[in-house]
Amino acid sequence: MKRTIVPFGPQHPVLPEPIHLDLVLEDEKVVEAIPSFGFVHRGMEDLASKRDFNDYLYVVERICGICSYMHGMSYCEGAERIFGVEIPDRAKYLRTIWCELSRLHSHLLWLGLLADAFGFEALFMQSWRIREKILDMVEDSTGGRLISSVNLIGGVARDMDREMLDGFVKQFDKMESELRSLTKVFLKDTTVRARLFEVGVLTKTDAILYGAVGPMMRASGIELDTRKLGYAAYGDIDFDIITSNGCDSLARCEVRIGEIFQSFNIIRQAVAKIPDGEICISVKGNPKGEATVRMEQPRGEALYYMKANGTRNLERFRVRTPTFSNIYSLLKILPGAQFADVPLLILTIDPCISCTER
Amino acid sequence: MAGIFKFTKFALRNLFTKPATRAYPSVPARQTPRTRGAVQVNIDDCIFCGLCNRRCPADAISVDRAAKSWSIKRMSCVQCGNCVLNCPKKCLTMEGAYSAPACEKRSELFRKKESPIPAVHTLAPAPTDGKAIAPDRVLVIDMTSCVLCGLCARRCPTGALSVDRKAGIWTVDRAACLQCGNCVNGCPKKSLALVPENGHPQVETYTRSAAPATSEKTETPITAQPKGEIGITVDLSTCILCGLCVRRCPTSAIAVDRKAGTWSINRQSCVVCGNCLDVCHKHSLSKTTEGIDTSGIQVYAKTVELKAEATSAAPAAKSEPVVEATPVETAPQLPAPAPSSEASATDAPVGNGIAIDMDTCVLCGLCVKKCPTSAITVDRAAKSWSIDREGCVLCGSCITACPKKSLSEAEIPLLKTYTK
Amino acid sequence: MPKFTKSPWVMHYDGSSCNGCDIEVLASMTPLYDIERLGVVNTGDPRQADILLITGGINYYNESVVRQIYSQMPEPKVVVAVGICACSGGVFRDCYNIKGGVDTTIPVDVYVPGCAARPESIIDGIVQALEVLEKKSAASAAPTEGESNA
Repeated sequence: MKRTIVPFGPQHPVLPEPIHLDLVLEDEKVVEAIPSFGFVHRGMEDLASKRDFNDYLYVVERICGICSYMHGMSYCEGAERIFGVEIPDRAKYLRTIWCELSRLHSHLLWLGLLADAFGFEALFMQSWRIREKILDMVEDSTGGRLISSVNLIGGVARDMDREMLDGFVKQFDKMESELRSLTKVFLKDTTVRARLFEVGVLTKTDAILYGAVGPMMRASGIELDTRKLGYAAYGDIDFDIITSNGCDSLARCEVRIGEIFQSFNIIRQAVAKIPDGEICISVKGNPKGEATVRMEQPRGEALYYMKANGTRNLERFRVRTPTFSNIYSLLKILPGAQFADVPLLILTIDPCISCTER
Repeated sequence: MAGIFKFTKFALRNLFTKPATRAYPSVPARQTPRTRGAVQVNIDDCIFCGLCNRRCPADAISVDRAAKSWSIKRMSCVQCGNCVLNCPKKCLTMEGAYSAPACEKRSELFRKKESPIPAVHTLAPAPTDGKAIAPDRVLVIDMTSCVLCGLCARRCPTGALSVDRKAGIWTVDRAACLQCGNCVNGCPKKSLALVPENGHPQVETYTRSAAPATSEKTETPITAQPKGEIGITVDLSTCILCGLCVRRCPTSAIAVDRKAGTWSINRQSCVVCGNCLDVCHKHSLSKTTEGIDTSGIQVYAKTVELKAEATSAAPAAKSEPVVEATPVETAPQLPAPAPSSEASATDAPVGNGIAIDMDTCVLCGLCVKKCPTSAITVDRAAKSWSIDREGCVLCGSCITACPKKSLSEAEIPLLKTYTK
Repeated sequence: MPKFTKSPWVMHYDGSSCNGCDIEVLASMTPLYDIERLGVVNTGDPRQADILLITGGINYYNESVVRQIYSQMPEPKVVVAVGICACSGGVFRDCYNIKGGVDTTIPVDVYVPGCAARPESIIDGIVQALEVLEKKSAASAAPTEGESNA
């Protein structure tokens, strides 16, 4: 059968990010996908040697706009481990709350983009409408919608008082009921099921072989969640690891929706348990040493390695983001898929190409 | 059947709830107390330390200490808040302001307003010993001694005074007057005083009487009248052309050209206030009635050589015109001389002058700042300290200012440059 | 706001952005900010677009892509640089792979500051771009009338 090669990207209407795939097609079926990345590469890790380590925090925050909070938080965690300081408990709980808010907004964003990818624009609009409420909460507490700049080495810069926290929790009830009717469409609607069910199957063995992380891996039945390591205040909070055995796009949708509702619960627990106290301790001097931080981003496990040699600039700062691991799974599930499903499959790994390419 | 009415609930709800849209240009944008906006500076508190410049990850802020200005490139600021966090004076804020889109990249400049007190230096600082600031007193003037030089108007921080020399009028706006006493202390004729209030009007104008009141003082100035015979003259044998009189002259009547060796005075502008006499360290200036030509500018040229306390090999040092502020002189590089050093190897004259101990000198430059005649220059890169012996008036300000006590006045070979 | 007779079509391209501004551009299309009520439609095809919204700086890899998209747009066209990275390179201007803002490659008509640029600023930027578009259409319409008369 004759093969055609269709170039997909870097500018295409469905994905907000530039990636380029050369899709080798036989009729309508994808046989091979040859990737070509690098459109978003900025060379950020090299900047670590040029900027003061306190100012570099603001560069690290801007690795990605969607996962921005956790990048900043991981950098601060790494620096705090190098300095060997322990931040106050209230700061840990505040960081947890913001982490979960960040996860909420990221998953809702993903749900909307997924709906847009299979053509259901009304669902896209509804998901983002609910997401705006989360962004309003983040703006009320930090001042910025996506890039919050609220982490500092030694704690956090802003506090959330009792009134604000209770106000947030009160809004969750209404949001949960809206979301339940929305997610019912994602999981139960016939047309949506037809697009998602048995599409992009990644078996459990393949998931382990290709190094999938995050919801991609948990939808294939692997029960791992980096939050169980207990950084920030996660050690004090009760939550289950959400998995599914479906191994297809519908399963990934289920896992992420489950994580949305779980995040509401985690925030409720954190708000109930948050202790009083300071929010920041002052850390002076230059760091010397190295640290590795693993954190559960909305997209999966991210690994941060920092090395400092006693000067103002870090010697090395390396990030291995979750999408970087998930790209191999993407290249595994693309062959055999229909051409029309390609945007959907790219979105099902929750790509964050700017994180990957830095 | 049940399937048909399932959607009715949603349809009715959508009909009767208001839309979720915020109609942005018609309604204002959502602002919270913490919303990050454009960085604003309270320029009056700013000390121009430049920390915000160094901390900005996007290099959007620039600070010019000399010009006292702070500017920010609006299209480069990422609103991270690092500058706000690090400002030692807490004069930066980020909440609430909006940076609008524009068709070109722009920066905004904020400059500290200059203090209205003019840069007329006095040797003695104006005492503000509390007695000058007295709200129950008012400013009055004795027009018989006033020469309408205008120094008081220039020293007034609020602009409450105005002097019209042509019309012979001196005006005070007592509502603006702070009773600070700056004018009283600065008046060369001591015509001003702060007296207890006694029904003085808020704005008062004093006029010089046509005939000056006779007084025992012989230095009654005559500005409104045709200039008489009296005027300022200079004794160039002692004058060192330092230029202090130029700086003190309130009417900028004097000009000094060091290269050409001339001192000139514009008789039309000179009000014979005597400020220059007060400031001259060499007492070269005096008031005289002889040889005064009041029609225009009179130039006195030095024909006599500059001061040279003669030693064996004087000529090399003498006739060189004094060059300002070049640290690399033609003088040879010499080690720091001790008062009784082997400087006879050079041909520098020995005399009373400022001596420096280069071992303790740290080249901080404080002596440069304090020297009233700008005779000293310090070159940190070349590690040299130079002094213009002709310009030095031996006032001793540098000796007092030196934190390392490296300077002293002694009988030494008068070298010009010393290096570490 | 001036009176608009035709609705402009917007195309969005991300050149080395962190996604923050892209998400805010998409958020301006969603119900809360809804730029579609001003008549603006988000299209994916540069050949049908009037306004190009670019986020992120230009790096050596996507320079040719941006030029190609710009050349594919029909006249009159307006370029809006959304976000500080597109205006001037932002925090990344010292990176080895970043050339600078968008104006190093294509001419920019409106700069929208912010990191990430708020949807309200993006709406303001698009409104300004519409005014620039009107001027450009008027300028390009005049010569053709002269020709048809001649």
